[in-house]
Amino acid sequence: MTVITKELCPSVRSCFIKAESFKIFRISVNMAVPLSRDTAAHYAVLSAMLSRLCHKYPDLTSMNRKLSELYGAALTTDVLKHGDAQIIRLGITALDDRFALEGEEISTMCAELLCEILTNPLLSDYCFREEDVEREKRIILEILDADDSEKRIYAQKKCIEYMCGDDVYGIDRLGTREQISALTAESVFEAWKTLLSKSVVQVNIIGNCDGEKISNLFAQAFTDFGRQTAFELTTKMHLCSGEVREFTERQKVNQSKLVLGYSMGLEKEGENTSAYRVMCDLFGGSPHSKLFTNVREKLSLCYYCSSALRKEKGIMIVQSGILAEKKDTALAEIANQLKKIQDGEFTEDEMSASIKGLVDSFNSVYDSPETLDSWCTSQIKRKEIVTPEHTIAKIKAVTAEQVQQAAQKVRLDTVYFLQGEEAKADAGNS
Amino acid sequence: MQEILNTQLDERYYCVKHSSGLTVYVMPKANYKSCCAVFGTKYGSIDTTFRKNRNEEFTIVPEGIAHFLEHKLFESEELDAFARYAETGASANAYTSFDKTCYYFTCTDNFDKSLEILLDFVTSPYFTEKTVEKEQGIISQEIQMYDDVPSWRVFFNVLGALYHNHPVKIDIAGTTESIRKIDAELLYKCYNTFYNLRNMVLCVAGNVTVEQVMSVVDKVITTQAELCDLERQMPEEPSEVVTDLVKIELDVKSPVFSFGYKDECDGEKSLKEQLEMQVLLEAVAGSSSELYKKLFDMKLINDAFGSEYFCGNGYASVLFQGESANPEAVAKEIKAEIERLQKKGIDEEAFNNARKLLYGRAIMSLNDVDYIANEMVGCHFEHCGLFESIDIYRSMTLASVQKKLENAFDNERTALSIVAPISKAE
Repeated sequence: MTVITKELCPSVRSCFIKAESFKIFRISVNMAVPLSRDTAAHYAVLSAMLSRLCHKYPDLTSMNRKLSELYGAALTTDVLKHGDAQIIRLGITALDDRFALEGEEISTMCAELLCEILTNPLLSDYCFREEDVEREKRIILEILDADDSEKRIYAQKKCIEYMCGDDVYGIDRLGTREQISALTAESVFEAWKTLLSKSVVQVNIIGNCDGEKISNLFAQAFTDFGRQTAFELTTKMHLCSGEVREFTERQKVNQSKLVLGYSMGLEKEGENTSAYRVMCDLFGGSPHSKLFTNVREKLSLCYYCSSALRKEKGIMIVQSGILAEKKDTALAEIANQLKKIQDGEFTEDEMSASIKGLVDSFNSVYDSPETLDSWCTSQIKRKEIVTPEHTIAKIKAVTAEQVQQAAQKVRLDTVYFLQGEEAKADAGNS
Repeated sequence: MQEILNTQLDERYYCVKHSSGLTVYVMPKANYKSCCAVFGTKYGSIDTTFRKNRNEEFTIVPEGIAHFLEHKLFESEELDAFARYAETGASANAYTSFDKTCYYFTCTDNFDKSLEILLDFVTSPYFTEKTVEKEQGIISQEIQMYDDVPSWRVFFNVLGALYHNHPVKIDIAGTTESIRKIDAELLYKCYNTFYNLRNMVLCVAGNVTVEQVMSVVDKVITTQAELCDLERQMPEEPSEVVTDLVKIELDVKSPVFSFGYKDECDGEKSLKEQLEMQVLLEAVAGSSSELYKKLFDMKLINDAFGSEYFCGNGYASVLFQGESANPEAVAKEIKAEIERLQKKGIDEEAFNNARKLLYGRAIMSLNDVDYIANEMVGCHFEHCGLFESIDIYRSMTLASVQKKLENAFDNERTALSIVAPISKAE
């Protein structure tokens, strides 16, 4: 696989992967800004606004009809936390040009639509319209509500929030309810200008399309808009403050949620984390892992108990859904299993299973434009885009000793427990 | 071996009837790295009353047993299936739905070995009272987890409001009470009835050849399945709904809803009927519809709003779901719009846009090997071909869709399910 990167204008680049086997293509515009309490809500509302309407398609129906005409092109918007950066991501996935019923060039039309959305929003008196901003404020507040209603998501968010305290990583990717409510059309409009002129931009183009032509469309759009010196994006790795902090919250839920936040002990950005990936998979990343086979299968404590890395911030999270009274048993077993890896108590077979599993998952990145897109986006801060093969080679080189060392560096930092109490809401007809 | 070809898409797949009685489908995709294999049986949560052949009495089994069986098959007397897959690097799992149970893996290497594991563990049941008991702990946590998920609760509550007797209204995993009634003997009974190779299918898509797949099948499956004469019984279901409103409170921040229309259904809906309904729903309530815009402008819905035609053996209904501060108002608007369109008719442009959108999405979905393999399973059980939907979208007419609007929606047979935040008064 070749990734053709091209500098379109200062701090704006395109990454083109020519892939002929797919029936679809994907184009995404990823704009990274420093994650900040002052602006997180602005960008979240902005991302929703841009994808909803624009000057050319000024209402919901005309915008969505345009997408239907493009054979059901899916316009998506995401806001991600990537270390101490916030990424605003607008993307479109659509049918490869060869399937167009009347020979249309769907890919170019989609790229034009994205440029249009970004640089030519719906304005009134050179500002966003109040009603549009208010609508998207409501939508973002409702997404926060929905996140809180899904207890698995909620518990993980709370753990990170407590764990990071005053550090910017503790804030929600969408900002807080208060910040969202306080936004005005003017402040969001200012954020739009800042986003287009100062964010670090990466346009990913994946599929059987004309990468050069599409890149040029974006080069033109960003150049015309006017670029300033781009933001510096740096991340402070999360390190333990000292003793383990515990937080318990009670809610009327059937299942209690236990979330453990660990520091990976990484000092600075960009360190090689291959050994951590293998360690995390061995610990709780797969069905042959220590947590799955012991906490779930042997002790029958839960349906899920898994670990995952947020390596950009140097954090590992373990989560499980359990009966409230089993909290201590689960905590003890999770600690016990981590200790085993720290003490080197794992077999060569277990380790090679994790390596095989990881290699397999990195290899499968090649098989869809969406996974290739995410792969490229995750490297927005890197000078050069590395391929999955590159990562695979590093994973294969990991030794048992390195896995043990990685586990030894990991420290439990925060325990968050969402304790369920007398839930069972009765269904009553009314 | 039969080749199924679509020249327009330049795609083909193959169907092989194995001597054991098993049907195998393979779609080779040489320029992909990965491969997905799905081994499925036409047996899901709704199959609670059945007999193995006409001479037997009907057996009624506890709710949730198909799902329980799915969990248990991963175990064996020696190494469990996950431990065996660990040696190949494949990523494996399984799922149980209302009408099927599927075991699958995806991999980019060691395909033959992984397929051998898949075929072997699904055809080698091993249950003891002790392992059954252990699973009850795990599954009751799975059930409790879903009990806290608002979208899950609101969905089963609407089904409970629409259906008097049909088992589709019961949670796929059963209840914490029903799974306690499951024992090894019952599991074997269900296994021996539904895991007959003639009631099963193997579907593979990705970087493999037909010969490669068949040589593994030949190696693992050496016996011939007995003739399959199993019979499922679905209870009598009145056309009326149970209740038009069901509301519960959970510890959530804002209400979610599901609003359903109960459609008539004897047996199963054809693929054509299902796709016509999808086009209709896209035209009536999709994101470029007038209804969608109106609800959005009234601040009644957000991007979570959607609709589906939910149907299977003995049940069919139209469901609208989403998050809303005022679900009653959403239901009222939907009813009014349906009535208006029943009189006025569907706009031709809206119909064509909906058709184009779904046609595009149908082709787009064929990009993914996991999707293809799973979809081939569904198609086999529904007796249709993988490419059929694309042809149906191309030839669909407004008149047929309009007719669906007149028949499937009866404003007297609706139910609204709401999951609301716990009221302050408590």
